[in-house]
Order: sequence, then C-alpha cells, then structure tokens
Amino acid sequence: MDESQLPALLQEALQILRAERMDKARVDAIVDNWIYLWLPDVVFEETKYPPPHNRGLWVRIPLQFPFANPHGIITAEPLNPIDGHSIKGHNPNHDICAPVRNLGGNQYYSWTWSGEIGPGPSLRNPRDILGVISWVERRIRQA
Amino acid sequence: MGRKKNQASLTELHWVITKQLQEEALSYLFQQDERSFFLPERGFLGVIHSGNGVLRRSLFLRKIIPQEEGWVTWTNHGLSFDPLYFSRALDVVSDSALGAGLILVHSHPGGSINTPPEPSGPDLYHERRLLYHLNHALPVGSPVAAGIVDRSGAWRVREYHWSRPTTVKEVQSRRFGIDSASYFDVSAIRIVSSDATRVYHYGKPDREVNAKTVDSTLRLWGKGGHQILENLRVGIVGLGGVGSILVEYLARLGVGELVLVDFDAVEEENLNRLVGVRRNEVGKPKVEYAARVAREASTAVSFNVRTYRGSASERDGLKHLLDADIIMNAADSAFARQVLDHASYAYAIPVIDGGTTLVVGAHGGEIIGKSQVGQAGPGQPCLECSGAYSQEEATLAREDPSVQGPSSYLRVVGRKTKGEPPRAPSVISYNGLVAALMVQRLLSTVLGFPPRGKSGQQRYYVELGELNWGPTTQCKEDCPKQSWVGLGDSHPVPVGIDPLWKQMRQQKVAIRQARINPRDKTVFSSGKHSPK
Repeated sequence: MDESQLPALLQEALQILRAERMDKARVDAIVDNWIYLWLPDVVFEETKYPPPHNRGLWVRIPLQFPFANPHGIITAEPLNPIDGHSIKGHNPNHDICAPVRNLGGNQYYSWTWSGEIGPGPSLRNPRDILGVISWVERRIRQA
Repeated sequence: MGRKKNQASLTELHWVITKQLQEEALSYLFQQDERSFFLPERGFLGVIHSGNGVLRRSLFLRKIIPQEEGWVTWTNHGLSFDPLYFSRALDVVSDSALGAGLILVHSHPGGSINTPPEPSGPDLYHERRLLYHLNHALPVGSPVAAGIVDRSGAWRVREYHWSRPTTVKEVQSRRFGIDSASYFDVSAIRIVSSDATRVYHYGKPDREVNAKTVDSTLRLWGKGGHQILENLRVGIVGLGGVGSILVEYLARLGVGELVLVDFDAVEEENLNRLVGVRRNEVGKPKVEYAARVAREASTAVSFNVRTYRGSASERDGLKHLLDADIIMNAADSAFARQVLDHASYAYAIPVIDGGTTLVVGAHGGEIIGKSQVGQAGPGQPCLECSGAYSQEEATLAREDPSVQGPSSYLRVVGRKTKGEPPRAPSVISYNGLVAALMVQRLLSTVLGFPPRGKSGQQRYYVELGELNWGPTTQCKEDCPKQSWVGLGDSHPVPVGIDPLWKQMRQQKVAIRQARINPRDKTVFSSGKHSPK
C-alpha cells in the first residue's frame, strides 16, 4: 500500500508506531475517510483470552488522525473470552470488513472512542497513536 | 521585473494580521512621541504563511522576529539589515511549520488607514535584492514578501516570485536573476481580533449606497457602515431552515457578495421552512434557489452571489469559503463544524455557527431543547470547547450514513432511526431566532454593533423561553487552536469525504445510468454500503 499519499500527520503517526511499538504494522486498505491498520501483535489478557488465539487485528483509523478518533476493530476470528460471554458491538460479516475480507478480516467490533468503558484519551498529536494501541488492548481486556 | 496580476485563477491577494500583531508591529516601528515627518525608518523581519482559496490568496503574519540592538539601522544610504538578523530569521523559519516564509517590513511616516503607503524606487530596488537571496535560502514554495507600514497602520505588501533554475545553464541565465522577479500587490488588508474584523480594500472606489432602500439602517451605521457591508464577502454553509433565512437577511441588509455552499436539493419536505422557495423549485439544488432569492432580495448597489454545490467538509468546498471575510455555518453536521472550526483559526476567518437541538418524547411527549449561536476565530473560544460539537461526533459524521447513528440534531427518545436518513425536527420560528442571533453577531463583528466584547455561545432554552450566554468564554487549557492562528495552508484542516454528499453523488450517477440503460435496476439505498 502506497502510504505517501496519506496526510502528513498520519504518516508521522505510523512512523512513530513502527519505531516504538510495532515495526510490522501496515496499512491494508484506505476507504473514504479511513485506513485499515493491521496491528500484528496486540497484547491479549491471557487469563481472559487463553492461547492459542490470533494476536493480530485491524483498527480503523481516520485519515484525519489525530483530529478524529479511531472507530472499530476487525478480527479474523471472533473474540472468545474464557467465560464465553457475548461481546457487545460484535457484527460478524459486516460490510465494513469488506476491504480486508480477502486477508481474513470478518468480525467487526463497532467500538467507539467514547464507548462503554469511558472515553479514550484526548488525541492531539501523531504520537498519540501509541495510546490507540493501549486503548485497543484495554478495550479487549474489558470487553 | 514587473508588477503582475496574481496567478490565473487567484485574482486577489489579502494581507491578514491579528490586532495584537498589528499593535506589536506599530510599537516596533514607531515611538509614541515621534511626530516629525522626517522620522528614522525602522524595520523588522516576520514569519508569514499563505493560504489559497479559489479567487483569493492570503498572506498571514505569524510572528515578528526579535532583533538585537543595532541589527536594523537607519543610515544615509537607507535602512540596513545586519546579516545576523537574516540568519536568525532563517533559523526561526526552519523551526516553524512547513510552508513558512518571510516578510521584510519597514516604516514610512504619516499615512491614512484607507490609503496604503507607496514604495519608492530605492525601496523596490533594495527589497528585491534582499528578498532574492532570502528566497533562495528558503525551501521551494515558501512565500517571500515586502511590506511598508505607516503610522496609521496601513500596509502596502507585495509578494515576490522568482523561478528557480534547475540546470547550470539556467543558473547563469539572466532569466533567473534578481531582476526576473514578478510581484503582486495586496488588494486588501484584514485585521482580525476577538470581537472585530476590519477589511480595508485598496484601489477599489468607494461604492455608492442606495439611500432609499437602506434608509432605516443608514440612520444607525451611516454610509461608512453600508460601504463596509457592500465590500463584505460572506460565506454561508448549509441552506436549510437557518441558512435560507441568513441568505435573505444578509442580502436585504446590503451585503455585497455571498458565497453559498450546500450539496442538497430542495425537497417537498423543506417547503415549510425554506424562505422564499417556490414549489416549482423542488428537485433543484438548494444553492440555485438560494442564489435566486439573494438576487431578488439584495439592496446592495452592486451585488454578486457565487454558488458551489458540494460539501464544506471536503477540500473543494472549503476552498470556496476561504475567499470569504466571514463565514456563517448553518449546516447541522459535526464534520463541517470541525472543519470550519479549524479553518477559522488557521485562516483567521471568523465563523459564526448556529443550530437548534430539539428532543422529542417517543410518543409525542414533552419537547425540550436549545438553540445556540457561537463564534470561533482568533481570540474567541473554539466551537469544540464551547460544546457545539465533540471530536467523537465529528468522527462518527465521517462514517457511512448507515453506521453513523442518529444525528446530534435528532435525538428522538426510544425510536431507532438506523437505516433511515436522519432528518432533524425543524421549526421555522426557532430557525428565525437562530438566524437573527447569527446576523447580530456578524453586525457586531464587522460594524461594532452591540453587543460588543462578548464571546462564547448564546443559548435559547426552548422549555424555559430564556436567552442566556453560555459559561465558556475561552478555550480549554489543553486546546491548541489559538496557536494555529495564521498558519494558513500549513495547518492540516481535517477535510475528507463527506459521506452524505458522496451518497447523493452515487445516487445521481445511478439515476443517470438508469436513464441511459433502463434495464439496469441498480438502486443505491441510504442504508447500504456502496461497493468499495
């Protein structure tokens, strides 16, 4: 995926993410105002999601980051907590998965930045992309 | 070298400065007790940025670069700038946002704010030489300009352009030398403060005023006030219940030019609130109907209306609005609000925003809600800090309509609206109230009409029937917007694709295709994703 056409602030955020947290993060799709960012190595709470499980997922990041918030994650397999409870916001086979369906993305979780576990931290600059990863991990832990 | 008109599509060049920087510049260049015509000239270097609309290019003064004693001196040969000052200026630019450039400013004695000082032959000769070298030390595309300020605060600003050589042969060619410069004079200066915007047009004859049609307001703000309105260009975003009233009010008040931006078409459901609309205009773009109403209502001696069918949330829509001196936002979209909020600081264009939120009980219960009018721009609290939108609302407004959920202007308790195009409840009387308050804000900003010195939001509480000022009078501590003032195109205003306008474009294409090929039964419904 050619990232040179992405807005400068988003390019900077991706550089920070790769340099400081996930060097193999990649943009798999750009659709309208959104990129589908592949995070290969998200930390799952082992007591809640015992291995084996796929640790990679896509997070939808707006092209206008950090002036707009992430919205929704997409996984290949449904999130399967050990106690088997159903996870809110789960939309299997949702149209929103279409851009990454051929890569295995099929389970959409329509989580918003100010969702049920309270608002994520305010986003002000490209470095805040690191907070997005923490938010995804916290959201999964508390789902 | 020669004075030229601006680039083909850009026909205006504006110099934009905040009142605070204007005062700082004057205190740098003039001392209080100096009254003689034969004053020593003084000067400074400043950081500038640029921003382009469709017709208008603007140069913004961002910062006056501090100088040490003896760096700018007045000698028998004229004003002299020490190379150390240039060196500092280049350092400051390299620490500034991408796109920063430099202006070389010096003072002239005397003057009147309505007549800019004239550059002398030596002024043009010396500034050209100095700026040529600065231009080559700056990144390609950085703006370079020269300015003269007189004691009244009037500016004469010229932006210079040189082509950059790309081969050794070109380096030696006179075509790329100092004298190959072209320059463009500013046609107006815009001085912006928290409670006022003043635009001084140069080289434009004072427009006449039709004393009969504006007799009642002529008594209040005089011919001078009407000439300000005649010279004013106002952008109006959203031509629904509030926007259509704004068009009529501003045209009747005598505003000289309107820029109308909306992507929607007139529908039968709009007939109970679009002022001046005719039944035979159902199906037409709202910008077309509103332009007709404006032309028929206008009392300006010379009136112009420009229309753009599109969204203010997209780059092209925003560019049309950057030609305006002031923007009125009546679009009930958090996306548009956020874009205009950013633009009001980066481009120093006041944005007056208004809308009504009505909440209706699920089974015809009590109606509660509020109408609110706010103003963003240098010195004013931003729309986000004032509570007109949140970043989360602006985020969800970027989504396809099928996953947006109900609009902030439609919170019908207990009723799901998923899959239905959101249509906010709207009552013409509340729209009139909002439009009236917005126009009062405009009159206050451009004419100094009361109330003056107020900031933040005015709110009318529907259930109480009370009109109050909101509690927010400045941005929150961690809000960065005031630091963006004058960044122009260097600030990444968060424009994008407006999903509602995209959906409408797809529907138009589908209808056109269906006409060409009647067997094609493809229908785009608002509740489905379009194929990616």
